[in-house]
Amino acid sequence: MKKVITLFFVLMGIWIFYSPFASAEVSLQQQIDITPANGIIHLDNKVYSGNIVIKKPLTIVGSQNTVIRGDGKNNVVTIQASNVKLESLKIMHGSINRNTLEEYAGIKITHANENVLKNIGISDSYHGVYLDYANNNLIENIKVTGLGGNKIGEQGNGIHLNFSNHNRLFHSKIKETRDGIYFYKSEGNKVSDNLVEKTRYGLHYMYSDGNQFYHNRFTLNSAGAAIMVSRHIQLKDNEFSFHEGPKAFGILMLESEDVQVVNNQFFHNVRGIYIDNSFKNKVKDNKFSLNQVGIEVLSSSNNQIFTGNRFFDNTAPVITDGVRSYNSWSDKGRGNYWGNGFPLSDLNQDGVGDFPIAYKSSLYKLLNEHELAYLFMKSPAISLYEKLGQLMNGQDIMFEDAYPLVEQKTSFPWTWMSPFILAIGACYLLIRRRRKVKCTY
Amino acid sequence: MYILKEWKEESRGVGIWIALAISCVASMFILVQSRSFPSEQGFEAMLLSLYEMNLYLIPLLSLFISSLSIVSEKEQKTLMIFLTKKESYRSFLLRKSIAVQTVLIGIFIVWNFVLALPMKFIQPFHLKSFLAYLLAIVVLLFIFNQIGIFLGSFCKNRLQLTGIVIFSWFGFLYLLDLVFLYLLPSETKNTIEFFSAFYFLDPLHTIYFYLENALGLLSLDHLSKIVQQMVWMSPTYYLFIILLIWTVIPFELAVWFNRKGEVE
Repeated sequence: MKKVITLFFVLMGIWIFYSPFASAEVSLQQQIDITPANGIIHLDNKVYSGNIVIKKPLTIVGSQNTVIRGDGKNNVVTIQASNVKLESLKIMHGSINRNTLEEYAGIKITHANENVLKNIGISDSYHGVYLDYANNNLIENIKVTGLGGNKIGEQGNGIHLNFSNHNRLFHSKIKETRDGIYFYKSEGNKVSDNLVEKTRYGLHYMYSDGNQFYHNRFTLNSAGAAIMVSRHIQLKDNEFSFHEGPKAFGILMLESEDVQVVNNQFFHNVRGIYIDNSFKNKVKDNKFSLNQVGIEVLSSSNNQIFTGNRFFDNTAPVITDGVRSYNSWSDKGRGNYWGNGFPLSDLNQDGVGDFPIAYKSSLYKLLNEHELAYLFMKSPAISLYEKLGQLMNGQDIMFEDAYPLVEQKTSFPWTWMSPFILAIGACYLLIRRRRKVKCTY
Repeated sequence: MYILKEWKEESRGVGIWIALAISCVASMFILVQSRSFPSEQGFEAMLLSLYEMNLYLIPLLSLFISSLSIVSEKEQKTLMIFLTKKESYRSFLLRKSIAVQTVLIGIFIVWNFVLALPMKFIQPFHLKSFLAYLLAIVVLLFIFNQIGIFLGSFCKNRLQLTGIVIFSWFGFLYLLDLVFLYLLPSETKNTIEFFSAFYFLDPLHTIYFYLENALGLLSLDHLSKIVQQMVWMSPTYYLFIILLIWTVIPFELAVWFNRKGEVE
């Protein structure tokens, strides 16, 4: 009997204290420790316990369902060495403690360069990836999923760069984090082909010069890209869409200089671009469609150049604060295309209108007076409000374009619309014919 | 019987077909324009554009069609026949409302499903978004049909009706918002809830707000304090509350202020 009882307690003890992760936890950190520098660790399809710290160059390659799960008290993976490569991993359950100076993350690279993070999913962590004094790293195909909903403010950013230069951030997806990509005093980075959605600021940007953003998509965030106190930035071929809310914008430029905004699409935002206290920026060849305000420029901003932009169906293409500022709405004889609301003739067919155009509006007063004015920007009454403003001399000049562009007419897509139109016509004729037949009888 | 009668009258008249033809042409232009929308959420943006176009058409058309339907009953003396058959005006109006709503909403639902066919060639089709759009259209039709029935019940003749219908349409679409715009600068944090109640009482605001939210284009997660004060309920609740208000009140007004057969 004693033996049976002893055996029972032994088995109970094993069952209680056994953890499927316990051996993995030890083994993963141990494996890292015993693997020689520049070695490769292949991980199985199972859950490994974090937290792990990597202090030498090596490669860790996971499988389809390899998970590294932290204890919720620290960074899940900390990289303190250069030339580390992490690939095909799922990382989760880092600390979300905000009462500390430590910025916790799913993966934190600190004072280390030339690392590669590839095909990695990160969730349930304060920051997704945190680069702290880390240069020349490649971050590719990372998926960071935040807490979303009302908890956006309680967490960190998708990818956070702090004093980190010349990194490459490619093909990543960031969703429902506080800010999508956050830059602080980080220079010469290249960010391309990323998707940032449902965050607070898609791109939050402070004191960082000389970075490049190509082919990214910022959508459904509280605001697209906030570029503040920075210079020499290139934003090319990006999409900023569906940024709705009283203070929302596609791009905010605040105290910024020499920002090149070229060939981007601004679609369905409250404001496409909002420029305050900024100088010598160039906004060229962008498309603004279905925004409430295409571009809002405050009088504190001067020497901006706007050229080759196309405006379609925005409630107001341009809004200022009514005070004259010195921005140019054309460059080298090339202005902007302002849409069907500005009819133009082009008798010499050079693509430039035969006369300059000026746009007057009284909407800026309304927008400046109350935050809730944006609720009415899609209202049909806005056109009436503008007419009344015109009659009562309440309008001010928003822009003057000396060389407005004339857009070539696009043709109606008869090839695929004609079967549909013919089908409707046939239905109508059929009904008429049936009626005639009934009448005859 | 009422529904069949209404269908025969509507289908033999030109009003509903003109309404559909206008909607058809305008929808085509929206579809053509939406080819350049971004691929993700492009379908939702297209639906929102279609709704914005319908915002001009549906109130006017449903006000005209539904009110004329009541006035025709008066002019053709069929109303008198109905009322002499032991039927109260309330009962007549209820049956007539059901008939008008069924026919007009039915036609527009069928039309929107037809329109869904070319939509599929333009943007990736999302059924949930399409159903949200359809609900918005149905609620818009329902409310303005009911207001039209009230106007038809109230007016003596077609001329009077035409004037009142156009004024109502202009009022809903332009004047109300213009009043809001001029009142807005005087609104403070203390009065914002009062302002909100009036804002959402306007069916055009509420339905648009619901649709934007249902299509996933407007998040209510992190709003500013003043907007949080303004929006203190789910958009779906707002929608059903205004549906209830704008169904019951016009109906009761139509019963109280009716001019049975007082045709000039």
